[in-house]
Order: sequence, then structure tokens, then C-alpha cells
Amino acid sequence: MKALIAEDTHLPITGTSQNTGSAWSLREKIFLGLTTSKYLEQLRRNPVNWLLLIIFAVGVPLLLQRYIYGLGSVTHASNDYPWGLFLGFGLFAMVPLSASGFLLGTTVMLFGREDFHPIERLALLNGLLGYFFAVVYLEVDLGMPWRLAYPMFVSLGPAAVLFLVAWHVATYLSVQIAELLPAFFEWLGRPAWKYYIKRISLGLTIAGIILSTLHQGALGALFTYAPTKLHPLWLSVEFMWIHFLCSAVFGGLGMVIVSSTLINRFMSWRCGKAFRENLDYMTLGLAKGASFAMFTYLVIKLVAVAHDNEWEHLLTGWGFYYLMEIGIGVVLPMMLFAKAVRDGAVALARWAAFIAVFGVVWNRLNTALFAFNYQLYQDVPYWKEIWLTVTLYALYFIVYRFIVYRLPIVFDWEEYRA
Amino acid sequence: MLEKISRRSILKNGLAGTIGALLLRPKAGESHDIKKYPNSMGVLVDLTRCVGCRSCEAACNAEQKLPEPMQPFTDMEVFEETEHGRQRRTDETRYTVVNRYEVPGQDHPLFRKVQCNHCQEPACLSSCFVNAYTKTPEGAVIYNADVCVGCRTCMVACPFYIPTFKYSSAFSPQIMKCVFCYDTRLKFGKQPACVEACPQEALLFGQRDDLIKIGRRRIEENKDGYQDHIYGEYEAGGTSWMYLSSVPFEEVGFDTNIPHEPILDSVKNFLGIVPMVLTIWPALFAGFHLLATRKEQPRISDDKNGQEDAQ
Amino acid sequence: MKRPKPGARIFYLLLGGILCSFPALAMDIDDAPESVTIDYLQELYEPVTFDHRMHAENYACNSCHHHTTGDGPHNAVCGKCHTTSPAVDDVSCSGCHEEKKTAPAPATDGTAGTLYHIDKPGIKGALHLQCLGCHAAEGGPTECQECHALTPAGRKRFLVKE
Repeated sequence: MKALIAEDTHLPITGTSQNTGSAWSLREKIFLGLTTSKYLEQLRRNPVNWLLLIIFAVGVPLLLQRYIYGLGSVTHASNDYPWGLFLGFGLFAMVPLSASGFLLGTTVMLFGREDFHPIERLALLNGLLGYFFAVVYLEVDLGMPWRLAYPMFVSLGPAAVLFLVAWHVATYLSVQIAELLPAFFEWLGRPAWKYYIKRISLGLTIAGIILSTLHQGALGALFTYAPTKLHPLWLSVEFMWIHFLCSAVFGGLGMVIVSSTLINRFMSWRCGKAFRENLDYMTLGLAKGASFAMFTYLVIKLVAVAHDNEWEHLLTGWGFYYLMEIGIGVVLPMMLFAKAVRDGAVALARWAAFIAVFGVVWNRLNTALFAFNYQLYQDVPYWKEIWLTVTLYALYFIVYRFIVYRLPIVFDWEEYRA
Repeated sequence: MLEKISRRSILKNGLAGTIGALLLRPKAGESHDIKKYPNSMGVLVDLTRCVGCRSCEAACNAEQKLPEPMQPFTDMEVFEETEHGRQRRTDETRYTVVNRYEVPGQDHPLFRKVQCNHCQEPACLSSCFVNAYTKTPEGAVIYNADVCVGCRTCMVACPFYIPTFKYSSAFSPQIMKCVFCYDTRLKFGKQPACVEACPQEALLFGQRDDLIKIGRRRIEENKDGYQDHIYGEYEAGGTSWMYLSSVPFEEVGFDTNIPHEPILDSVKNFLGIVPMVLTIWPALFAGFHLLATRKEQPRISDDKNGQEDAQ
Repeated sequence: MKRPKPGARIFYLLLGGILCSFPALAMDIDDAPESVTIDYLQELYEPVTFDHRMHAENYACNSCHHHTTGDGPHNAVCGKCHTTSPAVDDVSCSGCHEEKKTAPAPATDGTAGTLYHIDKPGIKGALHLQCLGCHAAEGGPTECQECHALTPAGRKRFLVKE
């Protein structure tokens, strides 16, 4: 893409009209202003696409297999581990990493921190796609995916934690779509439509906070249904929800740093001036927020161990593993974030963000898979399940990239700038 | 004007929050008071009597029209079967299994029958977000496949690892578990097929309250022969199926760490905060917003620019 | 499993009536039946011919008949009341052990009959509990099919291929 942009001064598309004054057509906007052959050429030239192709070449048949022959054909069909990677990663890890939307929404809209405005839309998009793909993972995992709407409309079990998750994720998805509609309207060339969204944006933001607090917490609370199955160090009947909520804060912030880092490095042609120039500053700001959240998290994790008097567990093998998770996944990135903020070392903050994101994923996998059934045996997911999980993540990556390439996420739509 | 807009949004939001609170608030209190039906039925399983003949397994298979296993029910080698180092468990082809335990110090093996314990306050039921489970007045925990979405939370929630999933089916999967022969027997006052088939009367069907009294009497009349505990009287809030054993329960495969409170109790911490967040958050964060942005140029002024741009 | 025929019995009792006239005496081996046909489970199993004579010659009556044959109870719990109980009219198992379906409600009136015999097994349970425990201890047959040959319906139930 970079090479093509160098050839053609019209590119990339940054507004409603071309340099010549005539408006880009929808087709041109979809094809990034390239001819079909040029578009395919840039697809071919990108080695990442070949990797994606390999993933899909195996993954798509596996997906068909899952829908034709049932879940048992691509997983271990375990009755002891009802939830595997699809939920362990796809739901329990994707959702906290997608807390970015409500966090930056709160920062910019609610606390009026306009200095984070250039990264707000990326955070919103990261949130929306994360949630959307959590639902996609769910649709692969649910035994009867065609009944997705049953908990909403057909048969309601309002006293169940999952009922909350279902309603809140569904509602929050709508909120996030509404929050991102302005970008879509700009791209469509219908900026006037934004007006109605703007009017309710504060309401949307507050709704986002409520819904996020509850469903991030609810994902943790789901494990309180298994007080005898999940290892006591990972389970805290009292504080589970707040652990999940708090780790979602640095998970979400970390993910925005990761995403913006990748975009800035590999899609620099797409980044607008405001985004490029403020990114270092914003990264350090997010890093600061993340380190505070991590510190809070560490304290409440400690409180949980003390509250349930689980000190002796720390001396066991599980305890060592637990301390490793906390040490590598939380303490290390927290220190790095703190040092980065103090020294103004943006690169360090970025490394820390990668570790923090890994740490949150690790925690969720530990909770859902590894420390679950700790008294039984360890289920290692079937390779097909792992491949399918990667395939869906690749799809997430493609959709993410597709949108960032086109919609004004990391740049300002020119018409808007006036 | 700008002030008004934000105030209106806040009001609107507050209203939405209240409605949301009313609509979405989980009925934590209500769900805890699952009726303990006074005349509900149960089964008392006496491990000292079971000889591992597998008649109950065969009867269950026939009654519930489950798939035929590879080995006949007269085959006792199944007791040697292990998977992941564990003995047989319920799965989509069997609602009940009998496992053999060689307990040190005992001159003969002991057998334990596994099936749904039909909890008084079932975790599967309270974790189900589509209300697929019902605790009937007769004591059975039954399941409605027509509304189930296959999320398998009930399997996570069940402390006894009982519900299983029909993973083999892509188009009509469902939870597979013992239903106390509800549709074919229990609701007509008849005992379940496995109980009827038991030659040793190791399974005794009756009103739960009576069974507890009988269990206590057996223990009292033979103090050396029984553990002084009826497993299931209190476990997980009490179960309709209960057990007597001559050896400590953990030595015959029972999980003795299961709390005596219903599983739902550990979830209530979270359920309790839900209405709080729904009602307090809107006002709290709207307040934060006003505090944080009062002196600044309100963001909403962008609207005008936006409109002008559009023209 | 279907219920056995209502008319079916365990013991063909030949001599019960005669012995009634000597209530204080224990019953005699010679008075006992040679063999007893047990056909309670005839849906799934062929009838079992129980060699009563052989058992009676080798074991005391109260090993099986509790105290009903008049020779005092074997079990200490029964002994609390029945040490001197005379022989009863009907010593057959089915005389006391009915085909039970559910656990009876414990007595509320405090009478001995309902207070102490509430956990009395049904006939199927009584026979198996009585036979199998002893067989295990004395080296008698304990495998199901050593006593019970499967009927065609039984083979179907247990999925035994021919």
C-alpha cells in the first residue's frame, strides 16, 4: 500500500472529494481508490495475507466440519471442561481487551480529556470489534447458535449471571455501534447524520460505563458458580467481579497501545497528523492509567488471598504458577509502565503494553482452563480447536484492518476538518 | 442551551438507568428462595448394599432409550475403564454409571452409583439464563431442550459433574442428564427405573424427609457399619438423592469439599451489586462529568461545526 | 422392569399349619421343604430353584429366618424384643416381605410394629440381601447369572448377544 501511495498522489483517501474536486464513489472508497488489479496486487504483495490464507485454508474446512458434524468433531467434547478455548480465549479474553471503548469514551467524553481525542475512535473500534468477535466465538461454541436470541426474547432466566452478560453485551454492542456511527457517516459522506448521535453521546458513554462494569464483572462472577472446581487462588467468591473489572481496565488500555503501535508502524500511511503527533503523548497517558489500574488490581488480588486466608496455597505448585502469572503478567508490566512514564520512554511503554495484554489473556485462560478442575486432570485443547480459535482471530484481524484502512479511525475526514 | 442539552441527556440517562434497573435486575432474593417442596421424593443409596450388578444402568438405558453401549451390561470389566485417570462418568450415552472402589481395609470392593442428585437448589437451574431447568414438586430436576442454547454453563455450575452435552450432534444437540424418570414414572408416583431394577434394595425410593430418618436409623442401628453422615442431606444445599457409606465418602469418589450452602450463595455477592451499579452509576458518573467539564468549553459545541460542515 | 405375577410366591410351605400347635418349640429341619422355586423376576430371569434342604442342613434356621422359626434371633438388634418369640404361622419370606415400591413413612403413633420395622426390605431386596451376603462369606455363587439365567427379555435388557 505504501508503494502505491507513493505512485499516486490522490491516495490515500482522506476525505469526501479527490484532489480534482470530484467526490470519491462508494466503490472507489471500498477499493481504497485503487483499480481492481492494483487492489489485488497490493493484497498479493503483503506477506501477512499469505499467512492469513494458510490459516484460512485449514480453518474454513474446520469451521464447516464444526457446523456439519457438531462440536464434538473439532473439540475434545469434554464433559469435565465444558468451556474450551472458544470461550476461554474468545469470550473471557477478548472482552476485557475490548474494554478500551468505554475507557477512552469515559476519558474523553465524561472527563473532558480532549487530549486523548485522536485515539478515541481507535479505542471505540477496538472495543466494538472485540465484543463483536466475542459473539462470533460464542456462535461457534454454542451448541445451538441459531438460538442466540433465546435468552433475550424466548425464554428468560433473569436470575442467572449469564443473563446479565447476554443482555449487557448485546446492549453494549449497540452502544458501541452508535458511538462509531459518526465515523461511518463521515465516510459515507453524510456527516449531518452524526448530529443525532452527538446529542445522545454522553448518555451512551454513561450507559457504556454501567454495562461494562456489570458485564466485565459478570464474566468473573460466572466462575463463582464453580466454587469447588476453580483453584482457590484464582477464585474469590467475594471479589471475582472486581478482579475481572479491574484487569479489564489495564487489558483494554494495553490493547489500545498495542493496536495503535501496530497501526502506527505498519499503516503509517493511514495515520492522520493528529494521531501521529499525539501518539507518544497519549501512549504515555494510557500507560500511566494502566499502571494505576495494575496497582489497584494487585492490592485487591492480595486482599482476596488474605480474605480467604489462602497464604498456604502460595507455597504449592499452583501457588508458584499463580505468582508467576501475577509477576510476569502484572508486576512486570506495571513496573515497566511506571518507568516508561517517569522517563518518557514510549518504546518501553509499548513493550509493557504487549506484556500486559498477554498477562490478561493468560489470567483468563488460567481461570477458564488451566486452574479450572485443578483437582482433576489438565485438558489440553484439541489442535482443531486451537486452529479454529486462531482462524477466528485472523478474521478479526482482517475486519479490523479493513475498517482502519477505510473509515476515519486514526485520521480526520477532510470534509469534517473544514 | 449547551447546559440544557447535557442536563437533558443526564435526565434521560437516569431514566434509562432506572428502567434498565427494573428490567434487568436479577431477582437475587427470589431465586434463593427456591421452594423446598415438603413432600418431594428422593432416593437413599446404601453403598453397603450395592454389589455392582449394573442392573440400574441397564434399566436406565432401556427406560431412557439411550444408545446401546458397545459392551453388554453384564460385562464387569467396565469397572477397570479409566479416562484421564478417572473412572467412568455420565455422558451423552448414559445417565448413570456404577463405579467400583477397592478401599484399603475392606475385604470386598465398594460400588458407587453416579447420577443426577437432584439438588434442592440446583446450581444448573440457577445458572441457566434461558430457564431450561425446573425443580418439580416431586423432586426431579428436569430439563427443557426446546429453549436450551447449548452454552453449557450448567455443566460448569454442577458441583457433581452431572450434566453432559450431546457434542456428537450438530443439529439437535442438548444437555443429557438423569431426569429422575420424571416423564415416564415420577410424575405418576412411580419409582425410577433404576430403583425398581435394584436387586439389593441399595436404592430406596421415598419421601426425602422419610429417607433421612431411615438413613439415620440405619446408622444408629449399625454404628460400626456406617459413616455417621448422610451424604446429600446438606451438600450443595441438600439433594434428593442421598448416600450412606461404610467408609469415608472421599474414599469412594465423593467430593467432600462441596459446601453445605447452595452454589447460588457464592454468586450472590455479585448479584447483589447489580442493582447498585444500575442505579448509582448514572448519577455518579454524570456528576463526575459535570465536575470535570464545568469550566471548560463544552464538547457539545462541536455539533455546530459539524452541522456547518455538512452544509 | 415389570412386576412379577401377583400370585407368585417364594416358598411352598408344606408344614406351617402343623407346627402352629407347638408354638414354644423351634421348627424342625425335617418339616422344611426340599426346595423352593423363586420366580419373582421372571420377566428378565428364569425361575430359581432354591435347595432349601441343603441350606437347612448346613445352617441354622435363624441365619435366614430371623426369629420366625422360633429359635431366637441371630441379629442383636432383633434380639432386643424377639429373644423368646415363638415360631410364627407363616415363616415364608413373602409372609413378611412385600413387594415394596417406596420407603414407608416412619410411624407417628409410636407403636412397635411401625416403630421398629419401618426399614423392612421388600421381597426382592430381602432375598438378595440375605443370600448374597452369606454367599460372599461362605463361598457360594455371587455372580448374577450363577443363580439367574437370563430370559430372552433379560438378554435384551442387558444387551447380551447370543
